[in-house]
Amino acid sequence: MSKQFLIMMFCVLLIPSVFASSAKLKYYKGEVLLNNKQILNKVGTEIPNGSVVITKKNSIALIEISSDKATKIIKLDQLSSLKISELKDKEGKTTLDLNLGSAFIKYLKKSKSSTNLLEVRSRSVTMGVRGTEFFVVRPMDKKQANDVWMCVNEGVVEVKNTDGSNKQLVKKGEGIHIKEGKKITKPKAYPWTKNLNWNMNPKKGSLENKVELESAYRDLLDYDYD
Amino acid sequence: MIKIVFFFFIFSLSAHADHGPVHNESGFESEEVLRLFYTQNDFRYMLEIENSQKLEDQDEANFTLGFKYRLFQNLKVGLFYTKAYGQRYEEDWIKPAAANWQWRDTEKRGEDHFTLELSPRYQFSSKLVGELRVSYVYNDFNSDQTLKARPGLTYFLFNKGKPWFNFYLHHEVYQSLNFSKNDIYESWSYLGVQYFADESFLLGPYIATRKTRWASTKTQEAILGNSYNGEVNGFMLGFVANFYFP
Repeated sequence: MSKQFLIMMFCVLLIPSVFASSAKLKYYKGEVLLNNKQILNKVGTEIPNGSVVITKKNSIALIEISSDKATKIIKLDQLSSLKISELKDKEGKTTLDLNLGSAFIKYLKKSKSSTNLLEVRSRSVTMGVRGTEFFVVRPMDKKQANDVWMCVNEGVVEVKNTDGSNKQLVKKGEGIHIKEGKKITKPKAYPWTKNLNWNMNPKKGSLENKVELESAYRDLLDYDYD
Repeated sequence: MIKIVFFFFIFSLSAHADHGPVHNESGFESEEVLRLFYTQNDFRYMLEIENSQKLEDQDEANFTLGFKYRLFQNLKVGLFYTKAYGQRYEEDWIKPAAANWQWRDTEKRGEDHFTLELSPRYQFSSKLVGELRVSYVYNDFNSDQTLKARPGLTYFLFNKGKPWFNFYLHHEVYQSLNFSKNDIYESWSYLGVQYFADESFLLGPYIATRKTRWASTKTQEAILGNSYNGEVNGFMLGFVANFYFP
């Protein structure tokens, strides 16, 4: 074999490893299911493309999606369901679908590229991540089951309807309420987000988020009784 | 039972005491309030019907219509119109010929009051909210202008994530801007509790103390030949019912 052929073969073998994207269970607590069947109870377990991760009551899952361009860490709260719809598309973008519950998402870019490499969907809205840390939640209460809330801890997140009819940029410290999964409110600071637990490192303390979403629906500053 | 009868005996004595030229009095009062709220975006419209039975045989009825607008997250502005009946002013303390000093009958006298209100609020915790309500009131009947300031705290109790009770403590002072010799001519302190019977229905009692300071007018001084100051101290028991739409 010629030297040129060997170099070419080396490159072909190298390409998938350089551009591959993988999702792994980084930490778990309680009962975590993969596709509602397999119990995820081993740190480092690979989560395949298209999988659904489900957390039961008092459970937490920490998932890491790594590629050459970015690392995404997802803390899935109790009673939640997240689908990894696309680990990496042709443009290198990861797409997640939050079907139920809540998730904290941390996005760490490895390159200076401004390309949006993470998109989170819930109901009929998409959240294009330009920032680094945000929280998405869907209410458990049946009355608000179609609502979505999102707030940003670092950076900026672009929220838009899937049909593109409405678009908002949510900045650090701001939150947004998507009523009935469609009507996107103007971003503003919500008092209920102050006590969210953004910690994603089990060594640095509890990962449990004790903020109840009901508090989002009780804007005490808007409350008039006389 | 004896205590209850005694209570009402004392109440009736204090509420129907004979008036001298200088009216100093203290005793029990009562009030009933019904409010309907309608919310549309950042506007909250309010219709209020208030009926009170005060010392010195004063019966008041107020009908208020207006709205509050959330200008900023921590600031609301309000504009209200009130049709007021039974209001009394220093000029209403009269001495008809061959009769004792008495209050003019104002129960059927309707007055137009306009209120502009500013209420900055601050949330101290997930359950405690503070508010300073500042109101300017213009009385179209006699052109009296009043500035009211009401600092207050409201504490919310939740049950399964939903509001269950709230407890409030308010203190309000009335500052005369263009009438009365007493700059602060009235003050109130309120302590109340409200029960969330439903997301759209809230009810509860409150207690309040009222201090009203009266001063003689020039007309009264001309009749009496001297000036006087009076003070009425009321202890009020009230009940409120609020309905919210939608």
